[in-house]
Amino acid sequence: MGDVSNDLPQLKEIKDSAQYKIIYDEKSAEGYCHEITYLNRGSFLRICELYGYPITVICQPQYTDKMYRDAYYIYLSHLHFDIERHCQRLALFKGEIPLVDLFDPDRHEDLQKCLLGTMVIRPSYDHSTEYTLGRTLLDPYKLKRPLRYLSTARYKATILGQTYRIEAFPFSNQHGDVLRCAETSVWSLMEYYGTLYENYRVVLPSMISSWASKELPERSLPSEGLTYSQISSLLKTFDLEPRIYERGAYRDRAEKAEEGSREGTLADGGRVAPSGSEGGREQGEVKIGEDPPLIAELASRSEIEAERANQQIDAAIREVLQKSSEESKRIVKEKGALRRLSLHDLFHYYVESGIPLITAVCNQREEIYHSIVVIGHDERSPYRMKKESIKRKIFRYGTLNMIDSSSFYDRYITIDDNQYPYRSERFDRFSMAQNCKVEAFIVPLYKHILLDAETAVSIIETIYKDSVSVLQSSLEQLDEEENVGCQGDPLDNLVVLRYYLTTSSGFVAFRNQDTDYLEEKLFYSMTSFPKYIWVGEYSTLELYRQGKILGEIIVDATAPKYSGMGAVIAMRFGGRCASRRTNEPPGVLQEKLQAIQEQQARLVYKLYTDNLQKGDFIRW
Amino acid sequence: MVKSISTSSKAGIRKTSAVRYDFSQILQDIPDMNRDVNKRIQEYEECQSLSIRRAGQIRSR
Repeated sequence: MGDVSNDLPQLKEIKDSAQYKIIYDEKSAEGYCHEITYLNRGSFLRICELYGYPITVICQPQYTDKMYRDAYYIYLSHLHFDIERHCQRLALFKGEIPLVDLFDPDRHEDLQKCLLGTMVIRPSYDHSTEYTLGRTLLDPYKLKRPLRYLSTARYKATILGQTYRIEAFPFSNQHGDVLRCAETSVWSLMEYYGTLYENYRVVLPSMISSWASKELPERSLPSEGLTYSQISSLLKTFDLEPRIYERGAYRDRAEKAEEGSREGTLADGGRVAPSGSEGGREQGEVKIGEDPPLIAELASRSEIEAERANQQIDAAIREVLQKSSEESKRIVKEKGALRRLSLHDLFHYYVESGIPLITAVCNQREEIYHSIVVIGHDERSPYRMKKESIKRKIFRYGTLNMIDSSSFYDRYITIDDNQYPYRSERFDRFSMAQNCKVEAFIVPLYKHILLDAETAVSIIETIYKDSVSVLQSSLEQLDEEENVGCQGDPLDNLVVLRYYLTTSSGFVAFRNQDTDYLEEKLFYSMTSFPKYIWVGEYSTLELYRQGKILGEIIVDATAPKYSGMGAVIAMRFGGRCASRRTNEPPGVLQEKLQAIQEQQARLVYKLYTDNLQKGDFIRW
Repeated sequence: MVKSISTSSKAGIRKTSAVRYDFSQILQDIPDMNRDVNKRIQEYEECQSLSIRRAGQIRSR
């Protein structure tokens, strides 16, 4: 900015105050906490540590934060003792930034790269520094260990007269009386959706409180939290179409499979149930002391299912005996039953789809229930996974060993209003004490998505289950052309299945960008897709490690629940592609694939990453 | 630059492969496949209705 004296009295005044400070290390961060009223030492130190020193902090005193101000007028202003209307806002920049540079438009783009985010510090009624972190927007891609697989929206912030962009997922500590963890999770989610999409709006505490005063049987303030049914209803008022998944109902099949394999009831790697063992729930899943009607209902259902299972076994045996041929035995064995999905599988599909999940976690004694938002997953871990742990998660269709990509992930990125943003926590080891299991989660689906994860995956996996020879052919071709097929270790030949929901526009754009070949571009661009699609990709373990796939099945996410194969739009196997027009029956896909003489697409191509992986693609 | 697979000779994009694909199994018996899927969906529906009932008992604060 040309010739500017750093000794201007006005600059000196700012430098001598807490409004501008360079934090060099933990000691100077601690010192800064004493200068900023209400700044929580633990949170601030942790955030500084995550980004790394030095950090330049710009503090805006007397900051009007819309979230706090709204809470102030509906609740805090009615209290007897004084509490300030204004907050303070800290803006954090990476490195030592000279104060004068922050006013220099020529330095703006450089400073944009250094901006880590903003944090609002709320006043507290009891003058403590507990839970004083208000609306906080921090960039997860600029952490010392950058996170890559998570959802973020782009915000604007004006700092010393310059407007900056911040890529972040909104965070706030819970307010206690106005917003408990349940309401804070809803606020956070809507702040994200309202910023990212024009169809949704950000919400303020008064909107949640006003809904609560109309809909709940008791007073809305001070808040007593919300049940998961109430959270779901609240989200519906904000134009989302939520689905609720509760642990007891969707028992984790991995745990059950281990029990089952000990009892000898499960086949092939302990995950695939034999065709005779249909029926969902074991009676052991019901906890003693639960409401009696539920137990009675489950018990009777269990009996009905056991009876059904027996009938199915009888039917299968009769069929085999009648046909009495080796061929029929082979078909029964190879077709097997469709895998049941665990709670973790379903949880992961939605996370992989880039949908933030409001998740209820509870400690082992089941006395503390807490809400967090899960916004992504940590790095893929097949590199680190031991062969034994991979083997435990394998299931088998026909002659092929398969694994769900959800099995590779056990760490998720959370927004927990009791902690600091972007914690990486293990599944079922959530919260500050790292001992909380997932009890339920709410998926805030967009309007018009009728197929949920379990339905879409059942449709896609039924096709994969019946197409083992085609998958086998693509593995052989891979071995022939790229020499990365089975090299003696059967794990290398594992088929990895990966499922996600996405927008067709994002999907087609990604596929087009990934290829130089006109045939592929034409295939995706000329296929008629609905707004939302479910995709099931398949790959080998080695290719998956490289972020590549061999094929995919695309299903209409806006199709009716019982549409079955009628929801299938397109398929790609080993460089052969087929799609159907809206007036064509699903069977036409087989005819089109059969008619293919020459390969129309590459055998190996990129797995879709645009739902979550933004780290590599952010361009300022 | 846009290329065409039909004129490309790069590895991995061979027009013809020694490996034969038999797509006759795919969507071979759609009614049977739909029965399998629908049966599984019915199981999940039971889970769904239980989830909705139990969600009313989980209060987070």
